[in-house]
Amino acid sequence: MISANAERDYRLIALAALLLLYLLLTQQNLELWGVLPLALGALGLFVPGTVSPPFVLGVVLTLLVFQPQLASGFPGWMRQRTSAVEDLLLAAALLGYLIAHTRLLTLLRHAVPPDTRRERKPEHDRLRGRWLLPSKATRRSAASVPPRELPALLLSVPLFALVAYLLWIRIGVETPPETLQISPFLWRALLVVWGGGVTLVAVYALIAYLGRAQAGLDESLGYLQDQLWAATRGEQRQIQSWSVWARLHRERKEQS
Amino acid sequence: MTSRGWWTLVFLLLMLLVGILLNISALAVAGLALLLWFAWEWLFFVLRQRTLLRRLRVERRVGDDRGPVSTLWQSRDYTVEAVLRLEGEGRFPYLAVADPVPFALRHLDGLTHGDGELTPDQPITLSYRVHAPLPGVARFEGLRIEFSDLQGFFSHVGFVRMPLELRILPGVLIHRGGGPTVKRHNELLPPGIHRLRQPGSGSELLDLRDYLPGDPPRTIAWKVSARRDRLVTKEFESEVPIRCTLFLDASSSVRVPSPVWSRDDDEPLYFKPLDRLVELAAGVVRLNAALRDLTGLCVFDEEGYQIVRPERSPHHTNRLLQLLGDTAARGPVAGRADADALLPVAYALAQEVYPDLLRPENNAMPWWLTWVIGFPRYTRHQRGWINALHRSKHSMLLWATLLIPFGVLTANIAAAVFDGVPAWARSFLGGMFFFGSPILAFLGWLAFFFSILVSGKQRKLARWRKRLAALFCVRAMTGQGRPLPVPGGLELLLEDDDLFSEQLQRFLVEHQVPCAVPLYDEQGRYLFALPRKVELLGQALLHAVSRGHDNELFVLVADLLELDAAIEPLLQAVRVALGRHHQVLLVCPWPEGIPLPTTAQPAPPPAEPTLKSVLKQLTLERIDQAHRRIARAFARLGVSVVCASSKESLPLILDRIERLRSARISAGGARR
Repeated sequence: MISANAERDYRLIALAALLLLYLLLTQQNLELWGVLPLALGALGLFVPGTVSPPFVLGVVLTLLVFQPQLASGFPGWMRQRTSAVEDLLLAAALLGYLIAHTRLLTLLRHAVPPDTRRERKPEHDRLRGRWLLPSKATRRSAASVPPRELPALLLSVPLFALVAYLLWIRIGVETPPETLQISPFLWRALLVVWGGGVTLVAVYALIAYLGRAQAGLDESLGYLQDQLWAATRGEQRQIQSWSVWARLHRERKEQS
Repeated sequence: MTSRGWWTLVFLLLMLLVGILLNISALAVAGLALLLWFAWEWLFFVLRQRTLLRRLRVERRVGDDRGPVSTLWQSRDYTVEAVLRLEGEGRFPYLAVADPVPFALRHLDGLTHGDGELTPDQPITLSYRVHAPLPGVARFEGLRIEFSDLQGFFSHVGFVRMPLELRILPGVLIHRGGGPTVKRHNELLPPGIHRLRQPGSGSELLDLRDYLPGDPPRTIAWKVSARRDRLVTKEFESEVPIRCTLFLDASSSVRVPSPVWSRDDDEPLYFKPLDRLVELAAGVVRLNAALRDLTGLCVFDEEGYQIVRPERSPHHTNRLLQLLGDTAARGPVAGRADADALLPVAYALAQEVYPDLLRPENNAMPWWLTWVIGFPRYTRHQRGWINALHRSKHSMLLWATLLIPFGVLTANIAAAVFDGVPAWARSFLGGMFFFGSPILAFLGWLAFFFSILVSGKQRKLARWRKRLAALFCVRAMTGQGRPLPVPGGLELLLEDDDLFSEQLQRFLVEHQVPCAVPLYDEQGRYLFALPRKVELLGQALLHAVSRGHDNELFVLVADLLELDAAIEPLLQAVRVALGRHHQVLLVCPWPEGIPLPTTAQPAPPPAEPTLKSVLKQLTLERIDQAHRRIARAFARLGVSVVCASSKESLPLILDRIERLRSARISAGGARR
């Protein structure tokens, strides 16, 4: 896949997702307002760096939250219900747009954030490419995009949307215990936060253990040494500082 | 996580929570889908970071037009190919690689960086060309890697260490002029091309004598025999080699790099006097090899010396050149240099090459520690009052809030218990207890907070110092660098400024990072004046004399300009050498940019004296006087002193060496 193709493909996918998003927003009677994420997203796609994907997500979030007020032909207090297909399609559209746009940014802007130390310009041509010296931000070269990346993207989008929908159905079944006088929506939010937090901690602990178990000799020695130092640094400091004082004192005497 | 990742995560969480709390199913499902996908990407990124990074390997090939090489030559171009491979299963969806070019080499063309997907079947290959401008050692550290997910939400910068050191041998110095000379007497066997005025099998006629039975008929001088009416035979001179031993100064004083910017890019940026000396020594080695002379080499510094006895074989010449290459790679180490001046460079290098050993999980520095204590507690360096305040704040706090109040309290109790304490003393102690101690404690805390407020830079340096000290200890434990006590090495490096400074310099030297080494300490003493090396040079010379076969040529290539007051041990050794009918020549490296003493005109006083011009004038005068003293001391013994300054002077010096031994020996037996 050549450079132009990778960029073009991601642009097309992102545009398609934005168009789908626009159609879904028009289904919710947000015809005029639905143009906003489409226009902003398209601007970000063709002028990279002007509009970032989180901004588009924020606009969609705002539109959906204030849908009763912004939708034409609906009373301000009534929210239009959406079907399961609409929910799935909206999730897929947002996910597709987010993936495509962010991957496009790695091709056009940078894949790894630039190091702040690199902002200083080298004083001499010969110093370029040397240690500790600036270089350009690492941008993903489009020539290195493997051909299977696009099908994997198109496959993952509906998959994640479907899993999320099933999960949402499962969460919707949950009701708060009778002892807790809280709304079911707050209870579901607490469940999501609690479940997500516990899963995160468990996975992180597992990965940390995995990293420690697979650490090399250098890292393990460093870790053990650090533990020893943390436990005995006060005593070590007393001993070493007095030995240094004695050496300096002896040298001073010898000099005089 | 990158800023792009954080912003995305914030909006995803917002979408999910708002969707759930407001019961907007479209928003909740979308938020959930995006969050699941985000978590999936994070999980795979972290798993790759923890498991796959350790399975990266670097293969490197350095070669020229004829194929791979294991030794480089000065002033030649080479192709470097670095291949990054992943062993086992797995893949990196996106990985960027950069190959830092060693400081001893100059990048010519080709990309030193690349990126792409990395799988076990699909390595990333870099290929570029370099030039070796100076002799020494080119150290390839490994590959710097940056990898991220495909969206750029998470990134990690690491380094695959795979150090490879290649010697750069001194290049060929073409010497025009010079040639066979006459040697007075010799105990060595031929062949050689120096004429020895003793009968032998050379080509030059030495004498005529009467024919003796057994003389070969082809040596009969027929015309002379006809004139004298008796058989006269010709005697020819011997052709013998000369033995030359080079004494090369590799002490820290000639290893100090100085930045030199030339108009053309061919010149090195960081020039060491040692580079010039190595070039000169390599030139002498090659010249002697061309003349079929025997050459020996003694490399000495402030710690010891290494002697290679004179030989003539190509293998020996190659060995000498390799030794010269190793010598050229050495860097300066001054035990009393201020560590704070070198710390930023060393920390930046460690961040690049040893990021895994600086990670907080392996090398933690509690954030509050530098607020409470400062290290080292005792040092020889005077770094200003802020530094002194920073280092003594712990003691200050301890005395002001604990020791003095408790001491005063104890004294008060003692005064109350024991009779005979004067009333005024009791009053004083009471005043101290009620007023003095609180005021002192208040002042102590005030100074403590003030020291925290003003010592931001010192605290940052302290954090860097702890991390680097831990790194040095780990390196010492794994056999890299100098050994350190275990356990306790880490705290010793924090408290011992001299030891830490030495470790810092050795770390930088090992990785060949040119940096501005402080030349003078706070008292204005030159840090690289090393009288010990003169003693060692004298010992090495005596050692060579004691094992010398014949009247040999000893070429001392040594920096003695800052040691003109301490050369007596060397003069004694030179006297012994001359007493044994050897010849000695002293070559002094001359500071770059300063006119040679033979051409130096007395500089007129500047029209508008500035501090810089006055300092320059004083420096010139000081160096000139030092040189005069050395030249005078050696001239009394009949030893010539030659100065080696710029590249153009090398052929001149070689010619001088050649003329010197020619003139000395051809004077019909007169040694000097």
